[in-house]
Amino acid sequence: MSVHHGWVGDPALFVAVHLPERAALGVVICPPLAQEGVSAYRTLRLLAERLEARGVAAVRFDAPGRGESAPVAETGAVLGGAREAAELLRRAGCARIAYLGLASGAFAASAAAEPGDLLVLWDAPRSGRAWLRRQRSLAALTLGPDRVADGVETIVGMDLTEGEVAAIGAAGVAVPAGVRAVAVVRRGEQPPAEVAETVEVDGMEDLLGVSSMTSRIPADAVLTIVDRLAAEAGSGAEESPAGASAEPAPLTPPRLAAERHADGIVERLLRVGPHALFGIETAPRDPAPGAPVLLLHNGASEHRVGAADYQVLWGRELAARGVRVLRVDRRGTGESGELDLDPDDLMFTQAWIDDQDAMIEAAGVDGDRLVVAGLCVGAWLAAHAAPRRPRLVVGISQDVFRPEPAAPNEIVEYFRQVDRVTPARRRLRRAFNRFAPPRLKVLVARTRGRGDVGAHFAPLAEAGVPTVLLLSPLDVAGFADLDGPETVRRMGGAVEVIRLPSGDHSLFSRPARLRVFEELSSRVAAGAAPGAH
Amino acid sequence: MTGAAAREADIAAIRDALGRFGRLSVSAGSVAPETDLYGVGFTSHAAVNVMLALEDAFDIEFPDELLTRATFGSIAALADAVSRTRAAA
Repeated sequence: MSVHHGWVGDPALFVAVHLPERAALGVVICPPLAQEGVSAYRTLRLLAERLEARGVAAVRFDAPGRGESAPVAETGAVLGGAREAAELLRRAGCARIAYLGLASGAFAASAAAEPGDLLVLWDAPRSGRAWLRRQRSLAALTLGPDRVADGVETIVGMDLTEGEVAAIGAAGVAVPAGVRAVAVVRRGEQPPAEVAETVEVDGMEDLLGVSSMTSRIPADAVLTIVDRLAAEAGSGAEESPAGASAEPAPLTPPRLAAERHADGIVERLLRVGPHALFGIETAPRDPAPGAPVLLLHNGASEHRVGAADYQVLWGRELAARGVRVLRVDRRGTGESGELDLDPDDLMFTQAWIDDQDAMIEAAGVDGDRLVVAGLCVGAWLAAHAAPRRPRLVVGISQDVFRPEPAAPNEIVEYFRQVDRVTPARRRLRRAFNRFAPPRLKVLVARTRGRGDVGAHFAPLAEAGVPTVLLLSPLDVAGFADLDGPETVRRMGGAVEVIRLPSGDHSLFSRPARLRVFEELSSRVAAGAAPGAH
Repeated sequence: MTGAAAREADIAAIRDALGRFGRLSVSAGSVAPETDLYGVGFTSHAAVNVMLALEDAFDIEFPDELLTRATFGSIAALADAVSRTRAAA
């Protein structure tokens, strides 16, 4: 595979360009907004890789102002980026362009398509207004009163400015004149707009209708779309813009920046360790000698940006305060590792502990300069950094404390089983929670894989590494089930527990995110000299 | 249609929406009105899909104050929410 990562343009757009040796057609893949974009990340990467293997070029991008792309002030910019991405493919040598938008990515795709282009609307909502209605409802159920806090509206996985609300609310999926459109829909559903062709696919409910942790790549949809676009690439040029050739031409890799400079900080691409893990370092442009280094892990099987891009924003803010921040995709997430239609999930496995070792090795520091922090599985991993004796470990929303790693797929299958709970099992669980003695509950929680708080933190305590746990109300309850408070009390202050008054496990809640960052930044940046600005 | 008959019709429509979009671990037809839906595999994503289907079916829009987990906790709670929304329209 030949994928080129980097930034292009101003404000800089972060892109991943997949180029076969020769191609006639280039596909601009427009990702969904918010948490749907996180759930769909692996699917869209696999789509691009499969297209490349069939002789079709593709570009993926983070929407302007989102993910690894540079901040933007322009209202509605979040629906842009597609034409800039298409220009990369044209400069590489692609004669024809197709815009493909998945879910809310269809807004950007349909806005960008021009006469002669192909437009693929994949599981597209009827309108921006309908999409907002769905996302606001989901946020209300998930976040409760935190959905709107301090005048900022949050949907699951994205904070919205008033300008973004207006732009998305006005967006649609109309097919521009002269554009041929294909709608890829769930079986039995109607296309969202008048299109030339409708294709039905299976599996979309398991991609976007579940949590990002348990979402699955919709193999049927990916293979169907790849076949359709490969056929398009091989079709005649009679429907193409004047002069466009249907013959595959040799492609030239685009010129992309491997670094992005802004406001006294620099962001650069990383490849880490024997598995060439993909990552991004955000650092002061002129770091002070001895500047702290934060290895910041995301949770679950998600890539390096975090809900509402908080890990990117934290990286940039901490870099401005003199801290080098590394965010690296573990194998099977983001841009790292091999992908197939049914990839192994590596949550809580030894492979991810090994990946973390490679990240710390790449950071080039340990001991007093190193801080390791992470959310959920990232918190579990951070505790495994004990042999490096970091200055500090910060665990956010940690709810699993198993001393031993899990087998591949063990954890994700457990959560899929939870989603399929039967009424009898539910009754049994309720009776157990009501009547079982506390010691038995702790024992069962440990044997069911959530772990042993004392054994989990013992290596950190023995190494003299201060540890801070920042727990949402839900995680506080789980911690109590494992006898966590009493266990850490017996450890004599090696583990400090901070209970957040509100918020959710994943930090979708903006107030919880701000509170956690306040705590993290004050401890990480302590002693750091701000970089030259 | 009497009040009782109208409620039965609402519950039938709710069961239909649950069957199509609820992703329950059991048949929607076998779920008693008071059964905890979250106990049979209902999720927030599924709840939103069911809500949107009910809005289409009844030509209503649930107000923000009803967008809580409790509203989607059982068929009976959903029927109450439909009734309240319709009355306020």
